[in-house]
Amino acid sequence: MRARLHFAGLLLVGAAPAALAEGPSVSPEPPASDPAGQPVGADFTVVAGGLLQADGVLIDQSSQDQLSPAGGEPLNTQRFLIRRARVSVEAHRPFLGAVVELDANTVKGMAVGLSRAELALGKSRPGLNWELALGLLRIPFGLEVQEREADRFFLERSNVSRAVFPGNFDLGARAQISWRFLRAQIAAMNGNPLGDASFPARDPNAAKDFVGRLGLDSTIASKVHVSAGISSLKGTGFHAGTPATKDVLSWRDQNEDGIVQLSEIQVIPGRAATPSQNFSRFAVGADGQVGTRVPWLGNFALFGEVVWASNLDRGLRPADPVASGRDLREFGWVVGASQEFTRWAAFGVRYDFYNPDVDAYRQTPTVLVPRDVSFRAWTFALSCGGVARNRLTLEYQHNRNALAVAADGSPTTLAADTLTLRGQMVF
Amino acid sequence: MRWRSGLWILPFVLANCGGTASDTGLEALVRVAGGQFYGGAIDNLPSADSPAVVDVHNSQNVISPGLQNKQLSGRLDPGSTAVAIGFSGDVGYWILPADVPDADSPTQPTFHASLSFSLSLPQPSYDLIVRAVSSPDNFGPTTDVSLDVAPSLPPTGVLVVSLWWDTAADLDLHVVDAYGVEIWAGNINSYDRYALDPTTSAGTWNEGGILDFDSNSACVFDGRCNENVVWSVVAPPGDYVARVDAFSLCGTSAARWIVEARLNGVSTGKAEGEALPSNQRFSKGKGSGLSALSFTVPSP
Repeated sequence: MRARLHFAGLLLVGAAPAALAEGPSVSPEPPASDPAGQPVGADFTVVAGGLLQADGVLIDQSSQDQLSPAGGEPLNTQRFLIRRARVSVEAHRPFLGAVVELDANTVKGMAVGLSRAELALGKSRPGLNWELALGLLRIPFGLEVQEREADRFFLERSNVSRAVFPGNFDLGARAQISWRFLRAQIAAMNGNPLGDASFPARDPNAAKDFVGRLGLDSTIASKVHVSAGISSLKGTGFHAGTPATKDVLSWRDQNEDGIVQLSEIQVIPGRAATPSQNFSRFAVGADGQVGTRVPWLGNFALFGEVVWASNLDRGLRPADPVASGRDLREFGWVVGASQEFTRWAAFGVRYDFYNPDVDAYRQTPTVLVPRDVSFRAWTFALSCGGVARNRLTLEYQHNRNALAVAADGSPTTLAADTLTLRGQMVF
Repeated sequence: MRWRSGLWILPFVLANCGGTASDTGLEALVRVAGGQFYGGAIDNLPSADSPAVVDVHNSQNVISPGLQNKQLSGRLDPGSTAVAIGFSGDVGYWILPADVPDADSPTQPTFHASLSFSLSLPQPSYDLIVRAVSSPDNFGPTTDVSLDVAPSLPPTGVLVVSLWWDTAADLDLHVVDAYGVEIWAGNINSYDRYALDPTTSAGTWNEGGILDFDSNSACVFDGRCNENVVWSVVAPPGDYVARVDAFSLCGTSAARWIVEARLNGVSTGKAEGEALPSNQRFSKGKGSGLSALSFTVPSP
């Protein structure tokens, strides 16, 4: 009776769509252990690992040495922080696997929580793998959502990815299969991933979101690796109702004399509770990635992804068609490339565009005009340590948005460029 | 060489990173709800002949430090898209998009601003400047609204005992009068001694020492940070004791306080001190607090 304990980064290796099965992938061999589940020989494997990402935000144009007038939160963002400190334990038995991962960070003060908990059943043999998984799972949509944090060359995902999927993980059940170069994933999920602005890791309605990806993953002429896919999500969102309110008396000092007068007292009648409502939402996306090795330099990667969605923004500008009175259509895309320069350095550039409401408008004094509320970002990253998982990365992000008001009252960019240094280690 | 050519982009982008600065405008003396703050004095902006502010509706020309939600509205020349609002000489000004015209003047855009003011307004009066804007470089002529600052004076009375402090803490003033009656947030008027002592005349409610306000009560910040106990009719002769109770520092590290007693407008004693977290541990209620000031009101 012996158990193997690997303190290696295996747990965090290669979960991109190209490598379909992440985490508790099952053993290809038939069970050899006793039914009681005791570790027996090579049939039971426990792998522990971790990830640490420590950031220093050197410049952030939106930072201020003030507290938010609304919530009292500090507005300074030029600071050192632990972005991700994760430890995980992964266990494998024949046909069965499980992984539990905890995340700690100081993004909004000290926080510790479950970031992944997955139980998987499946089988793997040459050319064919299948898996059924249950728990807190990585959402099978597109490229960026399924890319592991340790493997992503840029510090964070693009705006469109973080808006539509504010977290990579959601609770649900997932089936995935790979046959030769074909890949297929489908999942039923709560629809409120970790990071959701309203009900993270909870589900206020009984309806589930169905999400999946169909793709291919192949190497051409032993030199060029290609992966591509199309993704889709169909689900149900939730508009929160309001509780009943009581009658209240309100004093408004209309003549600003500081004296209460009868004419300035108003009765605000209580209102009955309003019911919560569900609304439908969807997303479709396409992604592609090409990788090759450039002689004398190193690995080169080019990737892109486009997403079209409706009522699905759950992170950046949460979509609520019930409150807004119309469906909110989102559109975004991202394209990027990275190049290694020997194994010691790498450089990458990414451009992403995201419009949370393509039908937005604003009222000018005389006419209703379309309004561009899109977010655009150029990201440049320089890495010491190449694209390896233990590296130091300096990233500059140039952001364009429509969050400020120009002197003539029209929307304009609120300065929000950032320069961030990140140290990362996988263990 | 390819990586070097790629890095040329970085300084180019750095040099072109524009955008409106993110600033809450809390340093400004006047603030406009929902407005965009811009640094620089509003009266130093280049001025054009048009568009102009047609009229401004302001119901009260007297403001007090810390005042919130003062309404200001008006009409603008046709073609105006926004309005700039700020104090003359202030650190910045606010841009508010223009609203739709009223039905009675369908060509003139309107504006509706909700103003708030700093707790520190050192000047006795300010000129609030309003300018119509039609493009980022075209600010119309200034329209001045003169606002007088109401002086923040302690209440008047025969005897006034005042407590001030400097943070968002909940401090309480306790005053024990010449009859031994304690006035504090749990007993805001001392006149009930007449009911307890049948040898004294009945008197009226306003003969007692009255606590005017329980500031920052239960850590609900009201911005006053000041409490007064006032004898407005007569102050009984005898010895008085004023205490300061640190009910709660409300998360602040300390609160510096000043206690002063004024008899017929003349100071009879003043004390300063600091409330620290250790002061919160004592029991709260009648008799609580640390002695800050003792004084005597002489017989007439």
